[in-house]
Amino acid sequence: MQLVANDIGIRLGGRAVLDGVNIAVEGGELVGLIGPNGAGKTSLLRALAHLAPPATGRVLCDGRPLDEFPPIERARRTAYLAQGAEVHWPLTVEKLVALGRLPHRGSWGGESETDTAAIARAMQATDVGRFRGRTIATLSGGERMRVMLARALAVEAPILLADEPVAALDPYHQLQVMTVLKSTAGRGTAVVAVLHDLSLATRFCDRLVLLHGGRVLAVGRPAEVLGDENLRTAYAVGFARGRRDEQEFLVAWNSLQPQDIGR
Amino acid sequence: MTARLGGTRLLAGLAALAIALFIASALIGQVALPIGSGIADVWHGRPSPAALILFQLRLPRALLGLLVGMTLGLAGAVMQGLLRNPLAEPGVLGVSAMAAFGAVVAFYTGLSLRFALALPIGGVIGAFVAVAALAGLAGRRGSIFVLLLAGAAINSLAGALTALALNLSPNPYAAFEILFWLMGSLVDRSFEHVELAAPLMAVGWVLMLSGGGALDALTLGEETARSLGFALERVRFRLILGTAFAVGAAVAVSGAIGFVGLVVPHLLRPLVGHEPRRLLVPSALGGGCLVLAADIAVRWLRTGPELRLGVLTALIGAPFFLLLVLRLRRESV
Amino acid sequence: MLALSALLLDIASAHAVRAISVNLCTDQLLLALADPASIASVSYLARDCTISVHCRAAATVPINYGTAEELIATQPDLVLGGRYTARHAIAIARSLGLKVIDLEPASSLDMIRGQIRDVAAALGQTARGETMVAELDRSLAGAPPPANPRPVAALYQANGMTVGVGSLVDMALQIAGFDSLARKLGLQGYMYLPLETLVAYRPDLLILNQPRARYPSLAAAVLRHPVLAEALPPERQLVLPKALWICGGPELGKAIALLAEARVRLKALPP
Repeated sequence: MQLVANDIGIRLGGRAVLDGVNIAVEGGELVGLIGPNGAGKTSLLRALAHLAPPATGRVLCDGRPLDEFPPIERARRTAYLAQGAEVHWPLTVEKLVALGRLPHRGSWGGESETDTAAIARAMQATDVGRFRGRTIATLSGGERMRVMLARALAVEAPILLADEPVAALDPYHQLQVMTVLKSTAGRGTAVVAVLHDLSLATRFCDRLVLLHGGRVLAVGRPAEVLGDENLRTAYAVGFARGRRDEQEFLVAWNSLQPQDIGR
Repeated sequence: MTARLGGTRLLAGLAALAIALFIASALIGQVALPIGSGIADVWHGRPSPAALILFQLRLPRALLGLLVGMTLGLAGAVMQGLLRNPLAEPGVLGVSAMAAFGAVVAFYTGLSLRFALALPIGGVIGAFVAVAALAGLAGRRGSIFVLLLAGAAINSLAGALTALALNLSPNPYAAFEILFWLMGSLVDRSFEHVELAAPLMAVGWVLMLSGGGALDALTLGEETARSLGFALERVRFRLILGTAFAVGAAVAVSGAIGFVGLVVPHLLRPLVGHEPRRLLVPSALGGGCLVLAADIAVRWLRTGPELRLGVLTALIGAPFFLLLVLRLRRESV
Repeated sequence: MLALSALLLDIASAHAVRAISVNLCTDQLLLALADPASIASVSYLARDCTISVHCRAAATVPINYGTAEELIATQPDLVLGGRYTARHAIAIARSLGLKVIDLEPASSLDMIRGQIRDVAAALGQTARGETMVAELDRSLAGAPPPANPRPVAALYQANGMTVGVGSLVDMALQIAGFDSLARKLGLQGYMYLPLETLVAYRPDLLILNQPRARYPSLAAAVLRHPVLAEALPPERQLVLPKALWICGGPELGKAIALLAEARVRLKALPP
C-alpha cells in the first residue's frame, strides 16, 4: 500500500499552512512527521487522512486520488488516531476498541468472527486486554492512549495515521506506544506519526519528514534529516547529542538568536 | 457475549411491557365495557356501542399513545447521541413546542381542512426549524449550557408564537386550546389521526435508525467518526430530518408531550452499555410504554376534566431533569 | 273604551321611550317588539348569528358592551337587562333613577309569556306583545302528545358539552316529548359528557348546534369524530341552532316545534 501526497497546499484563515508538500509513504515503514509548532504537521496528517481536503494538490492511495474513494473505502484503508482521547459516553474498553471495526461492519452489521479476532489482536498488541470490562474514566492517561491506539489498530487498515500519539504520556508509556507503532509497521502497515520528541523520532522511525513553515525542509533517514543545520533552521534550538546502545539521542540544549541560525 | 444477550432480553421485556400496556389502555375508559362481547362484535362487524367504543375510540387512542411514545423515546435517544448531550430531548429543547406552532398554523388557518396532510407537515416544518437551529448552535463541541439556553429560548418563543396564533384565530374556542398544544392529550383521537401521522412518523423512524452507526462513531468525536467512514454532514442532516418528521407528525396529532425523550433513554442507557446505537430501539419501546402508562394514569385518576398527558410527564420528568442537571454539575466541577 | 285608552297610552309613551338593552335575551325582545327609533342600542352579542335570532336587525342599530359609561352616554328612558349580567351598569342605571327591567332567566312557558308582556308594556307596544304570545302558543299547539316511553335526546356541543336539568333546552325537550340523556345521567346545567358515554347510551336523537363551524377548532373537531357518524347516523341527528334555545323568548317555541317534528320523524325509523 502506498500513500502519496502530491504538491499539497492548505490555507487556513488566509494563511498558507502547507505549501508544495510532497511525500510518499510505503507499507512496512514508520514515518515520523516532525517540526516546530505551527509547521503544519497536523494539517498534513489530516490531509493524508482526507479529513481536510487540500486547496491544491492531491493525495493518492495506490495511484488513485483519495476523493475518488467512497468514505467507507477510505475508512478501510486509513486508520486515524486523533489527538487527545475524546470519549463522550462511558463505553467499556472492549466496546470502544470494537468501534474500530465500523468501517468493516457497517451501521447495523453484527460483529463477525473476523471482527472479534481483529479486536482481540488489537487489544493484545496494546496490552489493554485486562481493562476490557472497565470504562475509560477509570484508566490513567497512558492506559487511555493505549485503548485509543487499540481502536485504531482494530481497523487493521494498511495505513495508520497517528496525531501526537505520545504527547502527555509518561516516559514508560511513551516507549510502550512507540514500540507498538514500530511493530505495527513491521507487520506491513504504513505508519505515519506526528512527533515532538526527537529522540523517540530518531530511535524508532525508519524515515523522518521535517516540516518548517509549511514546507518540507528535509526527508530521509533520521541521520540525514537531523543534521545540525536543519535543526537550527527548523527549531531555532541548539541540540546536544549522545549515543547509547548504538542509537543516537538528542536533547534540546539552548535557544538560538536569529543571527545564530544559518551559521 | 453477555451484553448481547442482555440486549435481546431487554428488547423482549420492553416489547412485552408495551403490549401489556397497550391492552390495558384499551380496557380503561369512562364507560365500563363488556370487553368480551365488544371484541366479538368488532370481529363480526356488528356496530354495537361496545364495538364502536372499543374500535373507534379506545383502539386509536392506544395505538396513537404507543406510536407517539415510541417517537418521543427514539427522538430523545437520537438527539442525545447527535448533540452528545444527555440532557437533549425534543421537549426540553423546544422541538416539540415549535412543532406545535407549525401544526397550530396549519390547523387554525383552515389549511388542514382543505388538505389534511397540512397538519402533520406543519408540525414537521416547525420541528425542523428547531432541530436545525439547535444543531447549528451546538457547533463543534457544543457546551451543555449553550444548548440548554438555546432550548429554553426556542421553547419560550414557540410558546409565545403559539399563543399569539391561537388568539388571532377567528374561532372563539381557539384561545383556550393552548393547553392541548403545549401539554398534549390523546382524548377523542380517531383513526383519522393515526392515518395522518403514522406514515410521516415511520419515515422519521427509518431516517433516525439509519444513523445508528454514526452515533456510535461520534462517541470518539467528529474527526475520528469521519475517519471511520461516516459522511457526517449527510448523516447529521438525515438525523435532523428524521427527528423533524417523526416529532412533527406526533405533536401535530397529540400536542407537545415533554420529558419522555429525556427520562427513557437516561434510564435505559446503562442497560445497553451506554452505546448510542443500541439505545435507539429500546428507547423507542420504553417511550411507548411511558406514554401508554401515563395515558392510563390520566384516565384512572379521575380528576374532573381529564388531566393533560404533558402535565403528568412533566410532573415526573421535570424533577428528574433537575436531578440530572445537579448530577452533571457535580461531575463537571 | 278600554281599547281606546290603551291606544292613547301607547301613542303617548311610544314617542318618549328610548330603550337600551345590555343582555342578549332582552336584545331579542327589544329588536322584535320595538320600532328602530326606540332602540338606543343593543348588546354586541346580538350581531352574532349563531346565538342571536335577530342578528340582521341588530346590524342596523348601534351596539354596546354593557358598560356603565355607554349607558350614561346613551341617556335612555328604559334599560333592559338580565338579572345576572352587566350588574355594574344596571346598578348605576338604578342609582340614576332610570327605569330598569332586569329579567330572571325564564324557566317556564308562563314566565316567558309574562316577560314578553312586561317588556312590551314598558315599550308601549302591548299589541305587539300579545301577537308574540299568540305566535308562541300557536307553535306549541302543533306538538303531538308525548309517547311512552319517551325517546331520548342528547344535545352535544363543542368540547363535549351537554346541557342538563334546569336549563331552557331541557324544558324544551320535555315539552316536545323527549327525555334528555343529561337528565338521565343526573347532569345539571352545562356539563362535560365524554364521547364514550354518549356512544354507550346511544340516544335516539343527537342534537347539534350548527352543521359546521366556519373556522376550525379542536373544540368543534370532537363533533366530527367518526364514531358519532357511525353510532348516530344523519337521520338520527338534528341541527338546532343555539339561537333558538339560548334565550327564553318566542324563539323557544320554534325550537320546540322543530323538536316535535323530529320526534315524529324518529317514529318512522327502524329502532
